[in-house]
Amino acid sequence: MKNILYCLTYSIIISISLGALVIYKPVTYIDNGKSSIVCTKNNQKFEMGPNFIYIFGDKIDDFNDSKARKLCEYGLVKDYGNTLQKPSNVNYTLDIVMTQDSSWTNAIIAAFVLFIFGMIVIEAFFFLITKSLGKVGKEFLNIFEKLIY
Amino acid sequence: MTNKTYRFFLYVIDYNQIYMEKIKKVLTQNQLLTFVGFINEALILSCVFVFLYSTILDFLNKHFHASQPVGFIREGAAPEPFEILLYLALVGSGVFITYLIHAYTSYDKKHTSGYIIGLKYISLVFFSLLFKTYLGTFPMSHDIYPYSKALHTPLSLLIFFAYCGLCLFFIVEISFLSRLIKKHFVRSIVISSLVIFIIAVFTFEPQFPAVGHDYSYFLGPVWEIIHGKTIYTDVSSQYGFLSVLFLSLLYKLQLIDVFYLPAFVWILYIVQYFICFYLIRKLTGNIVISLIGLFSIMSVNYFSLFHSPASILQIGPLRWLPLLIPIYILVRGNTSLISNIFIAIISLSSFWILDSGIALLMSFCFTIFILFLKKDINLKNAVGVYIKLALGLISVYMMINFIHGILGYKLINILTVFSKLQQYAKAGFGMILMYPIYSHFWLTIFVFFLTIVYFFRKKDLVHKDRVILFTACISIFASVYFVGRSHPHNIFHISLFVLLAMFFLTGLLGISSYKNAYARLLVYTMLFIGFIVYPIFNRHEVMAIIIKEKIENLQARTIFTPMWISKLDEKYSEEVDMIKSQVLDDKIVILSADDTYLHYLTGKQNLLYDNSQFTILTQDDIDNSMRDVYKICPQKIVGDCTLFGKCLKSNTFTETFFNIQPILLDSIQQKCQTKYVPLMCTKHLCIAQKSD
Repeated sequence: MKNILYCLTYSIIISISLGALVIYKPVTYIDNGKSSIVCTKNNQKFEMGPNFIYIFGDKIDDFNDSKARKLCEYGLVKDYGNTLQKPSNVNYTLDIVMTQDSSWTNAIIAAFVLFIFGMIVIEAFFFLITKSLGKVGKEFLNIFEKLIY
Repeated sequence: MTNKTYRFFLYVIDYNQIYMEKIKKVLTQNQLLTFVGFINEALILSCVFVFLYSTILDFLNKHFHASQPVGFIREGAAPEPFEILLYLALVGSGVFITYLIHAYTSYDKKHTSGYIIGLKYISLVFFSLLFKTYLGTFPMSHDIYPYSKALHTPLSLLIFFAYCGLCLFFIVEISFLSRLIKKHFVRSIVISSLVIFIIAVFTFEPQFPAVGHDYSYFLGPVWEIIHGKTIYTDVSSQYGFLSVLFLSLLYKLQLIDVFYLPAFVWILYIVQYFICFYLIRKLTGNIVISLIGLFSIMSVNYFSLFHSPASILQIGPLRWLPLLIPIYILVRGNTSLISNIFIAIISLSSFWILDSGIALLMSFCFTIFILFLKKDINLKNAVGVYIKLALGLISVYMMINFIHGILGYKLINILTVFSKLQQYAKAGFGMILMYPIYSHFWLTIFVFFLTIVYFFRKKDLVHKDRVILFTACISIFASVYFVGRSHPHNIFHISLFVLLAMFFLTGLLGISSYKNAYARLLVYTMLFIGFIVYPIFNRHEVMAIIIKEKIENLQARTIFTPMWISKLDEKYSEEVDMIKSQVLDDKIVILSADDTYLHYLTGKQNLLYDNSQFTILTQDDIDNSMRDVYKICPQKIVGDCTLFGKCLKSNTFTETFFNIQPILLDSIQQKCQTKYVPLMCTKHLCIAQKSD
């Protein structure tokens, strides 16, 4: 029973650690703060974020496309009452800057830290019950000692 | 394949095999493996620290929003309720975990197994790479702020190479000179004089530029104190406590002209850097490492700044010397950390400047705690030290009050001492978010954990080990300044103790005792490139501009006279005559960003309880500061000409980013139920009279 519980808790903690690996894996996204639109008419460049134009998916949606077209045509950031005519043709090009958040090394350390915390909790309970560390705890301690000494 | 080619390939394979054998032999040396293990442990702790800090802080900031403090009359309050606490909690936890690791693991592991050796190196590479990503880019790398244009690239690079070449030249020359002079006493005198001379030349700023805003935080309270007000009780002080009282005493005894304070700061810089050189030399016993350490500290702490360092008073030796002097006393006098004299020095130094004093106290208490964990001192001794420290602090406070009483001053109200600190630390005034979170600041944590790991591994502790532990603790607590106010530029300010601890450690790890001259040369080269060339290359554009300005200023006739004396005289000579002739009261109101300097120039006392007016942050501050003004409602006041619409810009000497003076004028007019109308104006100031 003890061993089953021991294995089960380690399975849970390994699953959580793998989950952390997925959560912290590198993600590339469009950086609206650094991306800009370039107007075809006069080659003027406008930063997207500060001008309230955002892209969330693969391509610009209608609402933000309209804002971009009006910005290039009329030089207006916000057309509050939607009174201006939206230019019929696309009058700008996108200068997209991609940013990467997190990294695989970060993901590994996240999984590592979670695993260690989980292991400390499991081994502490195991120690309270059996007065000795479990197999995983002993082996980990052994490798850790060799790594740092 | 010809016979020759075949033989050539055989030769290459043989040669490679021999080469590989040699590498294998080096990599499996026990000493090297122990060193790799030591670095591994510090790297793992540092990486986990940074990961936990960034993750937990992100979670806390997302889920618990800090309430925006009310009551501030100007923008600038950005509370960071979790950053400092989390940082300190993780430092404490990190030390405790290191203690547990060393208390419950065995030192005597053999490194025989091939896969373990491989794992050790893989772990080193992995955590090194991870930590490198945590370090981000060098702070303000190639950023030319606040200048709008960099010098031409060839000129910038020429200045960069000249600087590095000069550093290298002095390191080599002084090291050779040190070998040539056999007599210890003569050698010490010659080397010390040379080093002092070099520091003096490197840090000399012709005409001693000074930023009016920053100097007024010290000169303002000094003026008030010499005119009978009590620090904190009557007049607020942003930074200084004993430092302000000390300057007041010097000024009162006419031993110093406060307008020569920037020159005094230059001397303090020389003292500060010389102490750093002395400490590294004494602890490592290696002249080359101490010289590299000195030039590295100057390169990062002095030449990487975007302004002339002495021009801003509170970032330099006035703040850091009280933390450096206890280390100097520990090394110079071989004094014990728990001796009564050392506790007395800590108590006294803590009162010099408030925030560095708190850092010093925390460093000392934490050092004692670690010594207790290591069983270097017992519980009784540790508790005894804390009690003695508390008594020491009370004694210093009582002594200051006693002297105040004798001299006829009011006593210092202890509750008001922390009012500015409360506004800055708790309400978050002036706080800056650490963004990006990955920065070179984390080197502080790495050096700290290297020291802690070194300390817990050491079996027989010697005095030097305790000194380096104390230095590392100072570096960690002095860095709290950056955690709160995380402008990348502030990393250069706090770098002093981090580099000091790093160079102490380099020496103590026995690198200087390498018998192999090539190995020593390799270490020196790496230190030179990593800690002098690398930081200076990243900042060489701004350094080149500042050095060029410095050279241009050298052509002035009076290079030893602070430029602000002539500037202030030129600007305000007419105004000083006007104030003296028109406002006959001894205590007057001057509503100007240059209030501090105008009081010095006119010799008039201040009717407000704040000097300078920059320290007024809330409505309560206004009411408290103006309590006498409200009572008297003076017939005439002096004010900036913009207040009365008599000029568009008054071009004050002190550059301002917020004008408190219109709010102060409104408050006086409202409370006194009057209106002040301009009577007489110049292009900077007006004298206004009550209209009744």
